Amino acid sequence: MSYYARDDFFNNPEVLERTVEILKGNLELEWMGIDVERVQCRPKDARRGLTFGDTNVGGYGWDKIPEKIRHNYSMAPRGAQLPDGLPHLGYDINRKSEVWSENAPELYEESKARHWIPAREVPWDAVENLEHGQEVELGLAQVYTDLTVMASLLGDMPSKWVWHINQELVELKMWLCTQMFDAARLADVFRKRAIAGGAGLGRDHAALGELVKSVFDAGNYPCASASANILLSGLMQTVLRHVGAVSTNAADQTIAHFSVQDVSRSLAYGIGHMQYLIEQRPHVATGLRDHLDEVENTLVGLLGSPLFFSNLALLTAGSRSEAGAAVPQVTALFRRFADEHAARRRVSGIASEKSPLEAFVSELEA
Amino acid sequence: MAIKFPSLDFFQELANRMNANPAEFEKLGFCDTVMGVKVDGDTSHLYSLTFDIFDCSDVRELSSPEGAEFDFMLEAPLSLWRESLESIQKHGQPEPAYTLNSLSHVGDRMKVVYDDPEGHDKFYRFMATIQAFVNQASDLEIEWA
Repeated sequence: MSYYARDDFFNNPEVLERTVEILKGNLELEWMGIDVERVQCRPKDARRGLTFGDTNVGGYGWDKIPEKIRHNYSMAPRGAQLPDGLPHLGYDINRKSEVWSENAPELYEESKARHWIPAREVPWDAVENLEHGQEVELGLAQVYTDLTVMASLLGDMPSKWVWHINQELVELKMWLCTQMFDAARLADVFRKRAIAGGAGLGRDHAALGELVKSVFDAGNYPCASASANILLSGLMQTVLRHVGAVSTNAADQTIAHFSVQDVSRSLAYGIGHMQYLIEQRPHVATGLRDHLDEVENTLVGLLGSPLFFSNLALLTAGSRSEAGAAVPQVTALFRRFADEHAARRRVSGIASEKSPLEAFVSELEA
Repeated sequence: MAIKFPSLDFFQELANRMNANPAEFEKLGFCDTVMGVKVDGDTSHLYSLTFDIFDCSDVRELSSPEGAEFDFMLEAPLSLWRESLESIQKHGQPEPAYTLNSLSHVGDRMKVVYDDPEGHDKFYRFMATIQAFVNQASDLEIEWA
């Protein structure tokens, strides 16, 4: 216990006196005359139900959140009356642009609506009849091990920052909570698939560790958001699309099919966040660009690592003996990823002329 | 009665089936996107599909993608669309090589055309719904162009 309340309530005679009055039936109900905004909210579309978008009304809506939040540091829900004496909760992310994306409330609703249940929806009995050899199974177990690490980071990143964020930004904080849950589901299904296939988990490796550390250790939330939501989610989307394209098993098909949806929502948020931030504070683009270049450096370390590259070649070829011939296809996969990543950086306002990823892929192609 | 592919009637029938099957599509969740489907052959055909919550609310044939404001457009030759649909008809769902993901992955058998990366990512955000939409052709009698 590190916080001691400003009053010793148990030994305060006024508290006791008030309680005695209440027990006598002298209730205090003057708060019922509270003067707060009264609005009517109804679902715009009954099929969607009452969404955050439907409650974006008046002072309850996010449109009224100021860029710099100076009036509320408590846990009070936005729009509630704020009496004197509310404790300061210690929030130190109090600028809307530092975290906000206009699509965050919609992504929150979408995440809930599109949730899936790996334990029941993946046809796990298909793992008993894999339709591929042990070499491919070892490769899949390794790629699922890598994906488990990446998914764990996608959960850890928002959890590291969400409690710093002012409660006025409630829709954004709820979105980060769904990101954590989505990440938990992904880490869950990747881990289960590696183990259930019989090959077990693969090997962790320093190149992947360097990448996740460079994302996790970002010095501020915007840098963490750019690297986790744009770069890492983009990498995961590419790898999952590839798993879906090269696998022949119904379990792997299902996992790729649904998982790619989850990481793609984070991409949408990452782009929207950067656009909102840079529109409000254009000068931060330089720092974000430099940070993303630095994280791309560790990404190159992963893409070029013998384990990661060789495994993608093995999975692409379908056997160890033919893996060498699949190097051009893996290079083409990296080219696709580099182009898509560059396009996302461009629309986010953080394009780079010295992108390590672009330089690396160009070198591979040469 | 056989439905011609490609045709507006074909995609309208898929839309009707989607709208009549809330159990499957509500389970898959909200889907809000406008996509194009281009079938290249002797004559190219372009269709606009608007997905709205759990439904396909609008289907139309266009003469050009200009002004359509697609999030993304799937473009493939008629022969590939036919192989994909025949795989769905044979198995109830596409074999792994004929999923929209596999067809549009590296190799460009099916092109994903887009202007905005966020629009492109909607193809992956709503992948399960879009694939389920196409899979409804599994028991359609198709007359090939």
